[in-house]
Amino acid sequence: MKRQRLLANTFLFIFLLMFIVLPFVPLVLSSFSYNWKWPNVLPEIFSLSAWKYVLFDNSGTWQAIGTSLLIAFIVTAINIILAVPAANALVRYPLKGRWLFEAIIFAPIVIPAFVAVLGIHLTFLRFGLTETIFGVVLAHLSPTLPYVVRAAMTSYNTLSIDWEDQARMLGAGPLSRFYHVVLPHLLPGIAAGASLSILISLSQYLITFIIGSGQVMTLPILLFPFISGGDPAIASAYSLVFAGMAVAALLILDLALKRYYKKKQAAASKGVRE
Amino acid sequence: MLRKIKPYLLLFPAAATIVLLFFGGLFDGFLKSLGYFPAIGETGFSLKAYSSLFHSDAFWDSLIVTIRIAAISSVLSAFLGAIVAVVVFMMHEKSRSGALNLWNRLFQLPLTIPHLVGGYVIVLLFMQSGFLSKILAKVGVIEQIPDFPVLVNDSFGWGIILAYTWKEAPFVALMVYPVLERIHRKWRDVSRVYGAGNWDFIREIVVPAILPAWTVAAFIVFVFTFSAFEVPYLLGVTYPSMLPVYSYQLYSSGTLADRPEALAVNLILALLTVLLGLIAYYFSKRWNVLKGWE
Amino acid sequence: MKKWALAATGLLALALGACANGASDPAAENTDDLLDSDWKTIAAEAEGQEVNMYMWGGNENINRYLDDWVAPRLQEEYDVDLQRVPVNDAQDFINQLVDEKSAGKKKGSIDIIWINGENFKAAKDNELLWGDFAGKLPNFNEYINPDALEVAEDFGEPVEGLEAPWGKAQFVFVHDEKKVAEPPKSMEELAEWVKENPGQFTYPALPDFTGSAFIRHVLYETTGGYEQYQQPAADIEDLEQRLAPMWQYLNEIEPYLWRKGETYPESLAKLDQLYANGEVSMTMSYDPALAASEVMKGRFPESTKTFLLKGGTLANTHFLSIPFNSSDKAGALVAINEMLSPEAQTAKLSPENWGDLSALDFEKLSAEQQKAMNEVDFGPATLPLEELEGNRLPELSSDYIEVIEKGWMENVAKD
Repeated sequence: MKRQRLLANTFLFIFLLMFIVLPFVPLVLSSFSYNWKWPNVLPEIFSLSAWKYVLFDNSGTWQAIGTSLLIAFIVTAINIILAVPAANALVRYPLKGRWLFEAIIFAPIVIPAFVAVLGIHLTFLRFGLTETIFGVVLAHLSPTLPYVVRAAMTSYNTLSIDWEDQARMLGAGPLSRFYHVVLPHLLPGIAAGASLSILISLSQYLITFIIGSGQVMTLPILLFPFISGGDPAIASAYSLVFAGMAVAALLILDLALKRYYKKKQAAASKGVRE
Repeated sequence: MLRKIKPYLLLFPAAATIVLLFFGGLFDGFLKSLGYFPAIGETGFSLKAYSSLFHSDAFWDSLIVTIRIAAISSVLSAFLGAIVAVVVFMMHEKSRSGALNLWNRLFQLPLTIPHLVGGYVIVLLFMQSGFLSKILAKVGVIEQIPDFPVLVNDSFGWGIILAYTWKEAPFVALMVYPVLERIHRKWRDVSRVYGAGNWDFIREIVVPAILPAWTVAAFIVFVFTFSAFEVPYLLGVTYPSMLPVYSYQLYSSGTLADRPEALAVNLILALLTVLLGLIAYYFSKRWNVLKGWE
Repeated sequence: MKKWALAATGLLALALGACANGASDPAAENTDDLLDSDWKTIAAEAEGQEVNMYMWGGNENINRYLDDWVAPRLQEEYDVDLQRVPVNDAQDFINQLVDEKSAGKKKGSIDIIWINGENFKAAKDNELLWGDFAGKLPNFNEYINPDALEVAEDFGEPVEGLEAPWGKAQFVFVHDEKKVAEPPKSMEELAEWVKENPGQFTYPALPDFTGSAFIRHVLYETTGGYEQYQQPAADIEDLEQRLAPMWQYLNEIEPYLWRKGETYPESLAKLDQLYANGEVSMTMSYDPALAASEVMKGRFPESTKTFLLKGGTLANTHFLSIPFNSSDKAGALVAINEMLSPEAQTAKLSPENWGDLSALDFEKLSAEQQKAMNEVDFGPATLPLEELEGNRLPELSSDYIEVIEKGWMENVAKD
C-alpha cells in the first residue's frame, strides 16, 4: 500500500513537473540569456540586460502595468455595481422572460468579444471613444460582466430570505440590511467573479488594441511586438512580468478578502464579549 | 406597481450595457457586412460579402482549419484534464496533506497565465531550435535543427493545439473535479467492501460519473478555441488561418473595401458559436451537469 | 430610474463632447498653412508639442535609439516631446488612418509614421499622407539629393515629397573567408561555386523577404538588367517568357544546394542559424552591418566577411512621413528634421545604437561630418560605405514580387 502510494506520488510529481514546471524553464532561462545558441540546453552567457530593459530603461513597462491595472479595476468595479442587482433580480424575483434576460447577459460568454468590437469600432471612433481609457473600459465590459453576474447569482442562491427578514424585523433599513447581512454573504462570490473579471481584462490584446489604437498602452500591447518575432530574451522577461502581474492581482484580491473576514470575525467576537 | 417592476429595474443596467455595447456592436457589424457603410457613401444593402465569402477557397480552408484545430485541442485537453483530475482525486483520497493542496493549486497555474504568455511558452518549447530540440540534440536523438519537426507556425496548427491543450486541460480538470469530490466517501467505501481495485473503481464508477461534466467541458473548450484570436495570431501561419485571424486579416487589410467581408466572417463566427453554445447548454441541462452527480 | 437616466444623459454628453472635440479645432485647420510658412514659424509653433511616432516596436536597439538618443535631444533643443508608440506591424497604423479618414477624424494622434514599400503605396493611394513636406526640412535640403532614385522613388512608387528618407538598407552576401576564399562576383560565378561546393549554399524559401530579394538578383542578372522592369508588370506581355531564364538558373543549382534542394530554410533566421552552425558557407542580409554585429556577439565565426555582386545589389530606403490628420504637424516636422541631421544619422549608423545606413548624401556632408561617419566602427565584416553606395540597384515594385513568389512555388519548390 505504502509502496503504491509512493509510486503514485512519484507519478504525480513527474507529471506535474512535465506539465507545469517544464514549460516555464525555457521562459525563465531565456529571460536571463544573451544570444542562447542551439544546441546548448543552458544559455552560455547569462545576462540581466533584458530585465534591465524591461524594468529600468525607458521602456514604459511600469506605466503600462499601471494602465492595465487601472482598466481592470475600473471594469471590475463597474461590473460589480451592474452585476449584484441583476443577480438579485434573476435569483430572487419572479420574472417574465427570464430566459431572454439570461440569454442577453450570458451571450458574451459564447460569442467572442472581438466580433462586437470590430462591429462597433467605427462608431466608437466617430464618438471620440477610441484612443481613450474610457473607450477601452467600455470594450472590456461585455466579455467580463457575464462572469461576475454568474458568480453573484451563485451567492444569491444560497442566501436565505429569512436572514434578511429577521434583520428587517430587528429594524434594519434596506441599506444597513444590505451592508450587514447581504454583502458579507455575497462577498466570496463577488470576489470570485471579480478575479475572473480582472484576469480577463488584463489579458485582452485585440480589443484593447483596436479601441486603444496605440494610445492606451497596456502591458499586452507593449509586449506583443516582442513575442511575435522580437528579441527572445526581452519577450521572455515581458511574458514573466505579464504572468506575474495577473497572478499578483489575484493574490492581492485573495489577501484583501481574507483580511476582511478576519476583521469581521474579530469584530463579531468583540461584540459577543461586550 | 413598484414591486412589480423592481426586478426589471434591477436588471436594466446590466442588460442595457450588454445590449448597447455587445448587441449594438453585433448589429453595427451586421449592417456593415451587408454593405451599409455610410462613412464611405455606401447606403445600399446586399449579400455580396457573404456570397463572395462562400465562393472563396480562403474562407472554406479557414473554416476547415478552425474546426480541425478546435476539435483536436478539445479532445486532447479533455483527456489530459480528466487524467489530471482523476490522479489528483485518487491522491487526495490517500493523503490529506497540505502539500497536495499546493499541487492542486499549481495545476491551476496555466489557467491564470494569460493566453499570450501561454502561446509564447509553446514557441520557446517547441520551435525547431527550441528547448525540446536543444534537449534532444544534447541527448543525441537529432543532429541538426531541421531534424526537429516544424510544430510552431506550421500549416497544420500543432502549435496552436499544443498551446490550447496546455491552457485548457486544467480547466477541464477544474470542471470535472467537483463531480469527483461528490463520489468521494460513500462509493469508495462501498466499492472497497466489495473488493474493487483502483482500476475497477475508475472504470465502473469514476468514468460514468464524470462523463456528462467532462463532455460539456470539452465542448466549452471547443467553442472557446473556435473563436479565440491571440494564440492563432501568434502561432499560426498566414494561410490558411483560423477564422478569427482571417477576419482580422481582412479587417486590417488597409482598405475599407474588405470590411464587409471581414464583418461577414465575424457574423458567421458568432452564429456558429451560438449554435455550439446552445448544444452545450442543452446537454448540460439534460445531464444536469451544473448540479453535479448525486 | 432617475439616476440611470441621469447617467445615460451624462454618457451621451460625454460622447457628444468628445465628438465635437474631434470635429473642429482651429489648430487643426491652421496646420495646412504650415507648408507655406518659413522654418522659424514652424519651429516656434512646434514648441511644447507632443509628437507621437508610430513604429514597429520589436527591436530594443531601435527603441533605445529613439528613447535615449533622439527624444532627449528634441526635448532639450526644441521643446518637442517625442513619444514612441510601439506597433506590431506598419500595416496596423495604415489601417487606423484609413478608419480615421472614413470617420472624418480631423485631429488624430498619429504624428509621424515609419514606412516604406507597400505601406507607402497603400497610404498614398488612400490619401492618408499630409502633403509635400520633405522640401520644408532644412536638413533635407542641405544633405539630401532629392533627385536620387532611392529618394525620389520608394519601391518604384514616386515619393513626391510625401515622406522623407530616414535610412537605407542594402542587400549583401555574407561568407566565411575560410571556406570561400574568393567570393563570387556574379550570379554566374555563384552557380559555378555552388556546383563545385555542393551542399554549402541555400537561400530562404519564399515568401521570406530576403529569399525573395536573392531571387530578384537572379532575375536582374539572368534576364538582362533591371531597367526593363521599371514599368508595371501588367504592361509586359511576355513576362512569363522573360522570367524563364531565372527559373532555369534556380533549377540548375537546386541539386547542389544544401540538402540537395529538397527543402529550403523557411526564414532568414533559419539560414543564419545554419551559417552560425557551420552547415553552410554563406548567408545573406538586408543589413550590411548585421554580420559584423553577429561576429561581435560571437554568433558568427571571426572569419566572416560580406560581399557584393559586380552588378550591384538591391537597396531600398525607409522613410518617415506625417499623416493627413496629425495634430502636431509642426512638431512632427521639427522631429523629422532633427532625425535627418548628420549627428542623428551618424549616431544611428553606429552599431552600438542601431547600425542603420545613413539616408544622407555623403558628398553633401562637410569634411568633418564625413570623418565622423567614417569613424563609426563597423568591425571588419562590413564593407566600406563608399563601396556599398556605389553598387546600389533599385527595388522591383510589388506587382512583380507577387508574380515571382507564385512562380517560385510552381517552377522551383514543387519540382
